[in-house]
Amino acid sequence: MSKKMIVLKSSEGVSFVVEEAVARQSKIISFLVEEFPDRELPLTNMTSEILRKTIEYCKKHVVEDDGGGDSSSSSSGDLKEWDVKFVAEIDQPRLMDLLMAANYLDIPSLLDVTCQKVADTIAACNDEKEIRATFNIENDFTEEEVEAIRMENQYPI
Amino acid sequence: MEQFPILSLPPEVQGLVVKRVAHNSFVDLFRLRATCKAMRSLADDEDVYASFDLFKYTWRLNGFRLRYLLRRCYAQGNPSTLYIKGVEYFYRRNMYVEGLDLMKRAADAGFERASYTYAMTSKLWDDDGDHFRGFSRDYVAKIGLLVRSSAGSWNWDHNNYFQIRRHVFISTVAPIFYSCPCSPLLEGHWALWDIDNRKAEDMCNRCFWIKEVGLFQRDFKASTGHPNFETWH
Repeated sequence: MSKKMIVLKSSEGVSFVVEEAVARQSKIISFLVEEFPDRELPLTNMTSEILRKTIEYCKKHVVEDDGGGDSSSSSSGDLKEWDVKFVAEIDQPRLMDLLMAANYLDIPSLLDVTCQKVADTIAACNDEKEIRATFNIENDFTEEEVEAIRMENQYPI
Repeated sequence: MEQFPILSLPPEVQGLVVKRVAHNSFVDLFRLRATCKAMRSLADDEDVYASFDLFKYTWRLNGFRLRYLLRRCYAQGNPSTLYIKGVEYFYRRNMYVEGLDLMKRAADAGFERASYTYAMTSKLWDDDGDHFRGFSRDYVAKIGLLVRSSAGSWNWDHNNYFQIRRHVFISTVAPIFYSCPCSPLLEGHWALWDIDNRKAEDMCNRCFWIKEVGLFQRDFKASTGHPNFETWH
């Protein structure tokens, strides 16, 4: 029996044909498939590049889930390892787009993985100045607040 | 290096990132908190402290804001801190009612190790109740091993009442395990030393529960490995 296919269209108008099981990992797409069967689904706020990466993630995870129902620790360990490599290959601006895509499409596992990557990037920063520079954060504290935070971080309260 | 404008993410996603940062390390969280007002507000969100599992994630801060962290977690009803205080009160300070109540609150909040310890403690102090209703043998064996083998330095620092219960158990209940013909008795010592290795998995239910209670009395640590609760204040 042939698998049902879904057509997703990126903001540039590029069509991606994916298996329904792959697409349904997104709760939003799952809902749209039920509401609008046999229709092409336009994802106007996702570029082709990000949509391709999102589909790649979903494909990998649906393959693992269908692996004969074998949820052994090794396969789940392999999947975690794959996730780590997957986000490691993505640069910062695209990571942000992927995180937004995971949030928009409601794919909890992809959201977890991308949030963890951001947290790990914060962990790799040496101090708050480097965090500000990396994440484009403006220091909006008053001098009194800076002093208060310095004291809080210096002494147990 | 290209920047990642974190403040342009939706607030709920920023909150998820902050939680992940806390799970990595509270030192990271305090650094992030010192970057701007928005991050300070997210890092101070009560949900960050209420959901943090002190047995799962790194909490050691080398004295750096440790008391603040523990106090905030407890103030937000964090189940792992309720459990730590409950064990300390019940097993080391003879505050049975308060300790049991705290363990129950943690268990009711879904904290697995609290469910096990609360049920085991209730069984030891009130043998009549069906305290393990809903627990399978496999689950008890698994969670029991996790609780008994987790961090904590002392398994001899319990209060006197626990010691008395252990002696009574060894002299009155453990012999039932060794005399029950449900499964062949393997060679070994008597009492609790190797009670986990004396019968195969096909032992009867009564022997299984005697074995589990015996293991709890043998291995459970009165100290959870966290600072004593009173030092948090």
